Amino acid sequence: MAYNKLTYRLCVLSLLVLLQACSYSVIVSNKNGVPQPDPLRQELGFYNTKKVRDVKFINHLSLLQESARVVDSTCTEGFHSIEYKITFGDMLRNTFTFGKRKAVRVRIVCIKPSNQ
Amino acid sequence: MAHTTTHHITEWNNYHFNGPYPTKCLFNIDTDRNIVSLIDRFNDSASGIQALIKDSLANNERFRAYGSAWSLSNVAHQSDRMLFNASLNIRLEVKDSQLHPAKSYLSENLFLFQCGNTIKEISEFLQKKGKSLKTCGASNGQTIAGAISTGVHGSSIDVGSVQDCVVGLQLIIGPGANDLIYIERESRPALADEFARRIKSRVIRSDALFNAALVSLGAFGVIHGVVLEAEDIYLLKRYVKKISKADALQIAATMDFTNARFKLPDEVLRDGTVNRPFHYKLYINPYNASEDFVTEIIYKKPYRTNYPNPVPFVQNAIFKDIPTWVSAFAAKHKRIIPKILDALRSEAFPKVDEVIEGTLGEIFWDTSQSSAAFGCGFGIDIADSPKALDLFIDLMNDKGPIPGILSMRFVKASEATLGFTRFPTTCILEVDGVPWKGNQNMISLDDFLTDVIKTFRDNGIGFTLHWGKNAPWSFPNLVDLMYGNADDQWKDMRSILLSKEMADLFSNDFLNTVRLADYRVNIAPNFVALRDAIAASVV
Ligand SMILES: Cc1cc2nc3c(=O)[nH]c(=O)nc-3n(C[C@H](O)[C@H](O)[C@H](O)COP(=O)(O)OP(=O)(O)OC[C@H]3O[C@@H](n4cnc5c(N)ncnc54)[C@H](O)[C@@H]3O)c2cc1C
Repeated sequence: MAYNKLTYRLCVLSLLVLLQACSYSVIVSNKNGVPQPDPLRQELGFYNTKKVRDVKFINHLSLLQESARVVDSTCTEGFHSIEYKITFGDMLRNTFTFGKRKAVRVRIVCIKPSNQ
Repeated sequence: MAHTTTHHITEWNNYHFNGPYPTKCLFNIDTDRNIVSLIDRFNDSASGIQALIKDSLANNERFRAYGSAWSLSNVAHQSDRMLFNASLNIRLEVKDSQLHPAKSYLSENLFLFQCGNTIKEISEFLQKKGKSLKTCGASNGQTIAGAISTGVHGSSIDVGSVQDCVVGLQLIIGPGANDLIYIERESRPALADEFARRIKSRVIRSDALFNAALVSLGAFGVIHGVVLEAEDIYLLKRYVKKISKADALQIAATMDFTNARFKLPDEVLRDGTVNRPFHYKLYINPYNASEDFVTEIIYKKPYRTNYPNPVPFVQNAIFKDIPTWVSAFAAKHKRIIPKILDALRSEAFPKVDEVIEGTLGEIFWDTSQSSAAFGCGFGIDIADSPKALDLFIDLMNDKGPIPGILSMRFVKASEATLGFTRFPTTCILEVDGVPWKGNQNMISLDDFLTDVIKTFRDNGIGFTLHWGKNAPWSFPNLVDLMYGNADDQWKDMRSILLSKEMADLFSNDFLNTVRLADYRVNIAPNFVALRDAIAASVV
């Protein structure tokens, strides 16, 4: 019994590790410009004290459309960084719908507005 | 009217999570971009801040402005009301007609920056004008008001710190019409009275007051405008070399590059003389101090546009983001700390033999570290630096090991009364690392730094501490030990400028801990005339 439980746990753990390894994200950041600050956002890592905007939706593409496009109007002075994230589920969805349903998970940080 | 968002909070933390600290209220202020004239917009922001001060006074609450929260000490914290001012980023050029008749500056080099402009914003703005800051820290995220308030430095051996490039300050010292003041040095005036009138400020020209207000720790009121002197844009050429300890410290103790044993062949001229570097920095692994020091040497070069992008090669934090479990693990098994540090060497030190070129803003670019960290900077006379380094390393090995790496930077003396770069050339001996919780197995950071202070004191090594970094700030008579009588003059100047009520409003726990909050009714006799002149001045 104990052996079964351990095997089960190990399987779940391996699956989690596998799923984790299958999802990844890439941050493209601008050499220029200062990120718009958010004094209330305190978290370890890249987004610490930055104002972030998360864009998440499933894009249904028509037969003639080839790629998903996100139009964002929140950054008046350009993007400071854009993170594009893909999870294991997103990859499956893309594969099984022949690329016609794409999950879009983008995290945007705008450049801090100047006073000109 | 400037927009202010009020957040009722329970705690506040700094950028590197050295808190949290209990806090009631955070104001986030932004300029009114509907106001077309930048001067009017600037003046409107000042009115917005004054309204917040008035309300704080009425509610018997203390008030403190802060910038990027990059200080690792609690110098920026105020438990009542905090003003986040990073959105106040107006920049104004100075015209020839706005200069003081006795000026010693070129108008093309002077700019008025609102307090929330960060070093990076300033560098990018100046570059478009063909100009550059004279110096900055190792990275670029501090606001200008925050940077000067603690005395931010790089390793510009003949330039000084950020506050040493300031020629004028606009301070908000209360809620009234007469509470905007513009101060400059009497010995080096920069702007005409008319300019001060345009920013609705009364003018005070006094070297003693100006120098005290330069490194003000947030205690001289809200710094709203900073007039900086820039210079023509230049490039920096950075070499990273391994130098023997003896050779590196020979330079450290003297800053004499002409007679130094170590020479960079590329920077030796045909006649045998050597170029003097702009910057000199040593990186030291305290657990293997016999190995050669990784040394960063930077030379100033004329600006040109065709140079490769240096940003991928710059390293602006001793450590990049290190998971917190590393420090927790290290605190439990301290013997492995030297091994961890050795493994992280490539993360912590710049790559040897790499040569890059870039502007000041590029070489000292964004930080790569945004998680929990500690940092402490001791200022010492360069002549004492080899001895101080040996004592520090001995303590790290005897009392530690602790998860930190050492570096040494070198800066010309500051004129600021409480500038911690106060020796003719100050060596800043720094330890940076990941924080840990002290336990019976491992000394705490505070206890370790207390031991360093005692060791320096007992060995006759004069020292100061970076105001914006970690230190055992409650060490008895610490400020007297570091500054002699300079802190008395600073307190006199603060008491001359502010009413008792306002001095209290702008105080905080940090000032109380280091005993800089007390108000002086009886000031030194030589300042009585200045006090009367300030009291009599009007806009
Ligand atoms: C990643 C990193 C790298 C660093 N590198 C260096 C370095 O190379 N050299 C160095 O010297 N230091 C360095 N430091 C320390 C840091 O630069 C200083 O502590 C600096 O003061 C922080 O600036 P800030 O804008 O974040 O100010 P804050 O930390 O927010 O505030 C600092 C002080 O300024 C006061 N203040 C801020 N704005 C105002 C205002 N408008 N009016 C009145 N008072 C105000 C605050 O009350 C406080 O007393 C570094 C810190 C970090 C986190």
